Amino acid sequence: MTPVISAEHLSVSYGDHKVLADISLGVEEGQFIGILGPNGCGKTTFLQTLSRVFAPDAGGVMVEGQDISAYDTKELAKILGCMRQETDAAFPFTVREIVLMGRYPHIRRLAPLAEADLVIANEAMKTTNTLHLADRLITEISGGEQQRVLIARLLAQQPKILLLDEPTSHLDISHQIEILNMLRDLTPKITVISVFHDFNLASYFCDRLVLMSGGGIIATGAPAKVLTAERLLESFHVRMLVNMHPLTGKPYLIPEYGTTATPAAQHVHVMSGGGTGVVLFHLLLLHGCRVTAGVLAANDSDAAAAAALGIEAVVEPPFVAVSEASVRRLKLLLFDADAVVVAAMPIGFGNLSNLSILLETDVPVYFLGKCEDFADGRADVLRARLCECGAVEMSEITDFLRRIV
Amino acid sequence: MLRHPVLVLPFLFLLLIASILVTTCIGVSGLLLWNFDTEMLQKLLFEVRLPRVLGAMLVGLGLAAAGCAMQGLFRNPMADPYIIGTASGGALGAAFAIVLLGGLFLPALAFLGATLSTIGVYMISLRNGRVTGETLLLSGIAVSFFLSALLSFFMYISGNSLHQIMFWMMGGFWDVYWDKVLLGLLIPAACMVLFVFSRDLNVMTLGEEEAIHLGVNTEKTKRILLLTSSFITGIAVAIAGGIGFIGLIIPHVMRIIVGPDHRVLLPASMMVGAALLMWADTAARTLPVEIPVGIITAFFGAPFFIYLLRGRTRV
Repeated sequence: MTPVISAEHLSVSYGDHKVLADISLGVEEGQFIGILGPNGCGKTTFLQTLSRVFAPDAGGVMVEGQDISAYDTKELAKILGCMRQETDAAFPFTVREIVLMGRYPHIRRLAPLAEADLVIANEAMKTTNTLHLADRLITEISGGEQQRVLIARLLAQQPKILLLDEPTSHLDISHQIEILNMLRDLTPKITVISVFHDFNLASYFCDRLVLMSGGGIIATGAPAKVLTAERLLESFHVRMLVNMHPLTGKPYLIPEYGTTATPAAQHVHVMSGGGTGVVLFHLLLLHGCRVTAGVLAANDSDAAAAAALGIEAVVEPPFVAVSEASVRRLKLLLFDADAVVVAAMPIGFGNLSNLSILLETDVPVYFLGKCEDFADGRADVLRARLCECGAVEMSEITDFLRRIV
Repeated sequence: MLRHPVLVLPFLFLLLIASILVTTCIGVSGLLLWNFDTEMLQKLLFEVRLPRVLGAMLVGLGLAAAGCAMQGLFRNPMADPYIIGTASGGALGAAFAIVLLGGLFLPALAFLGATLSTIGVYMISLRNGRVTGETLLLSGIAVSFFLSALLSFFMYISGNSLHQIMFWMMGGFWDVYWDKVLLGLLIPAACMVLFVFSRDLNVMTLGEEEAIHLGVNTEKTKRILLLTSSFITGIAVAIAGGIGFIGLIIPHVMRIIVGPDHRVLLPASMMVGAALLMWADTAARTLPVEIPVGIITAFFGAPFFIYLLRGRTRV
């Protein structure tokens, strides 16, 4: 199948600065393509070259098998529609007038608007949820509303290929999903090429992703193939956790927020479970503490988090009471620790020994919030005894950090 | 905002016709109804007043149309027909004619000066076959300063002709007869060209990139609109000198009243500009001492403009 639009060895420079270097990309009809890349990597320039706003210094763009420079401007506008991030309309046109301007390439000079044009514009406004704004002025509506009006104008233009530069950057989450759903429903009749900044939206909606960096393309393909932690580190210089979205099976990305363990004077041991420890791990690492954890059950999300964050932890297989070996390892860690914090974890017979060991050491103990007792009240008894021996109870994580760091 | 162009345009047309009839009947020699000398009356009416009124009408509609096109093209409500060197070029041509040729070929040289300076500004701004609005404006300012320096030099050495140059620069219709009216008929013809491009002009006000995306051949459109506007302005300058304010204020006021759609804005501005200049000229010629009409338009127009700006919550 021949591509409906393709870039062939495109190079573009602004003066001495090379923005695009030898880019080639073929897009097949009916696909939804997402372009990702850090600021200044040339995404917008790429779209502008694809839509003939700039002529490339070298290479060319082919649209429906014909060189783009050969097209008449109106003919091209019937095939290729483009939407910028914002409009800066100089004069106060009404929203309806702006949307009707999408009909420009279809109307002959001096010909009046036909009934069909008005119907198409109305339909476009309905689809983008802007019909109620029809008589408002474009200069007096919000950024998100303007963006939807621009999409309405693009729909009224009825092109076969859409080039979009962050079409949902000003929209709230419900409109983001609504508009992107609508754009995806336009495929495969229409081809959509869109710049994204949100990995997860791109991953969910696009058939194929193009990852750009430094004026070139570093990967193209299905979202799962393109969105890998290594590639994102290479292009964005950010560590990302790549998971699978539990309901869609598409890649789902979360930034790590830069918590690399640094050697530090303070050593804090965290006793947690059931996900109550992750926040502590993260904040303590951020504050430069050496963090250890345990005893944790291997299937506990805290254990997974500790492993991902590079935290030394004592881990026990799931559904087993804490073993002698684990107790020995825990004692070694506690011997070295400057403080122990017990998170608001559920305590049952399995992990009760965590608390009892604390009675045998003289490390300062902090309780952060209430622990739920599943051990017939023994956990509460142990807690009371620890408090008698000087353990401190706190409810706010910030109070604890102030004491420790 | 009034958005009923269907009603506005016929109303403005009636206003224009009424203005022609009434202003022709008003003059220093009194209202014609009291005058019984029919031969004298006919001579005065058809050889003096009517050409002058029609001249004012043609120049008024031309300046308003050119102002409309320039404001749309530059996406700036502060643009006027003279913005890219037209006024200073025309004035220099006129001063040249007055000082060196004793006033011979004055309209021709004024037209030549106005259009040549505009074309010069366009050529200076041209880069790789493209011009941007910003470069045009800045080049226009630079060229205007240069031409003003030459103009000042001419005025400095002009001696007795200084008053004549000053009078010309303020603009007026005191020597408009049928020959100039015939010349002025080129103005509505050129305005038709602007009107044909009114939908393109609408799209151009969204910004050049969006206009390209919607299928406007922006470079061609800019070239045609700039050339046509400066042609209109050149003719207006040749007929009546440098009348200010009409081209700036009329499009602005009419945009507030009928909205920014050039298919309505352009004809509405033309009719109101024509009517306003006819009335201003009537005032100029019936005052005890005849004064340049440019003074009248600015004197009454500027306060009205300020009133409009203050009255609007949003500009």
